[in-house]
Amino acid sequence: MPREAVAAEVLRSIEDLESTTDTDTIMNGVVQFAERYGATYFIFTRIPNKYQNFRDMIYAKRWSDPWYDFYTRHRLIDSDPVAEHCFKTNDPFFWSDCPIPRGRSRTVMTSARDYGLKEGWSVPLHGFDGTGCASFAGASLSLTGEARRGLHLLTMYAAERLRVVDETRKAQSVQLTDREKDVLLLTAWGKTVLEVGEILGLTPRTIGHHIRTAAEKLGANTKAQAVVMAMQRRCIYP
Amino acid sequence: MIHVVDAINRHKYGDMIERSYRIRHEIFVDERKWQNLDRGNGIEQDSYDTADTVYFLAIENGRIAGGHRLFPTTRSHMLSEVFPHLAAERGIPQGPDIMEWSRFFVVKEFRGGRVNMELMAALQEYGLRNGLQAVSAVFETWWLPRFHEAGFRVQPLGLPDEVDGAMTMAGLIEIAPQALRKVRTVGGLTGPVLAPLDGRDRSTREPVQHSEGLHL
Repeated sequence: MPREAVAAEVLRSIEDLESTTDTDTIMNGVVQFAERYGATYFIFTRIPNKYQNFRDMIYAKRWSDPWYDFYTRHRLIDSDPVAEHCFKTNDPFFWSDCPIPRGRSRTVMTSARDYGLKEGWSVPLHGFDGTGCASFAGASLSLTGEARRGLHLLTMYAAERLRVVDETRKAQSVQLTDREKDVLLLTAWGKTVLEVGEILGLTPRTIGHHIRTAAEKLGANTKAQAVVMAMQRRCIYP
Repeated sequence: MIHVVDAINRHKYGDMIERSYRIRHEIFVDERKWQNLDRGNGIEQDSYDTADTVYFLAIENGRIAGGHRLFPTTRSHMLSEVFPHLAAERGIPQGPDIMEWSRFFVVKEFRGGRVNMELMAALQEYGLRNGLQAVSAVFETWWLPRFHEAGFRVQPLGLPDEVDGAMTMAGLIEIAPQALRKVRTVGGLTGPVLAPLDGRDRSTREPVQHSEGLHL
């Protein structure tokens, strides 16, 4: 395809994305483009911190199921050199160019190859409160020139749409009051109920009430679980 | 608080603009290694620093904490002169209600906080007050998620390309009340960030009427 045509197609797809509110439709646009260059697997995700569960961080994926099962069962995200490299770099990179420390990280990459993800290309996504990553993988990628630059741009816009869809869905599902958020935030910082009460000028009884109502909304069983879930759903930013 | 400094009120700011050139040198040349800006004198100043330039300075206790600038697109500007290939697809936006946004910086010790958000809000606030439709900008592509999260609508003008080893793109950023509202929410800002501009833009210019009636 001539270079001008690629650029025109990408910018048109980006325009189309703006009115899209459905995860599948957003993904289809990117998938259709990337498939032409050898990608068969696609994932858009935020990279979890140690309190977060990888499964809850994924915006959308068409990923190898066996590899995904293996990857999540063994918590490979913790030693994935691609995820690690996303924090350190601004621009997209091929997995073959990704620094791979010895040990477990190396195993992650060789295992990925065994599962058919022989070549990969990732776009780091740096937001205000965390880093994400969009990855494309397959047996062989032929991403060069306009195709790569085009997919880079398309990916950034698709990631934004996916983020907005996710944000909207979460805002609809859980609505914590400002007080509940305050209490959970201070709790996340290690404050006891007594201390939280002193800081907010409320009785420990009231603090306990806020924790219980927040936990109920979040579907959490304990205070600790409520804090973790509030973080995962980005209700609080400790 | 963000101060808008132009040819008319520059005398009230002493050597602040000259100081900002030195800080820009520290950030863009020394730290970010944009070597083609280095003139060997510790000052980063280019052909878009003129009497037509509008400077935005974040001043904290008399110190410059950050800044950026706007330049008219009705003149030769950075996108038209240096990076036209980045706008190959959509062309170079030009007009009296479009300015070019550049040299966004936050001094190291003020990073990751309020100054960054105030500087972004200042762009929308100034743009709305002064009737701008949009600003064009050439920026490293990694900025895009941050613009998006701040509520800025960014139309790409072409595909990104590598400039000095970093993927860089040109975009047209819409000036809109929704963007100002969102950047204020995200940044935890409760009101205007622009310092009063000697009453000029309020008394001599009619405030821009927007359908959503945002109170500035």
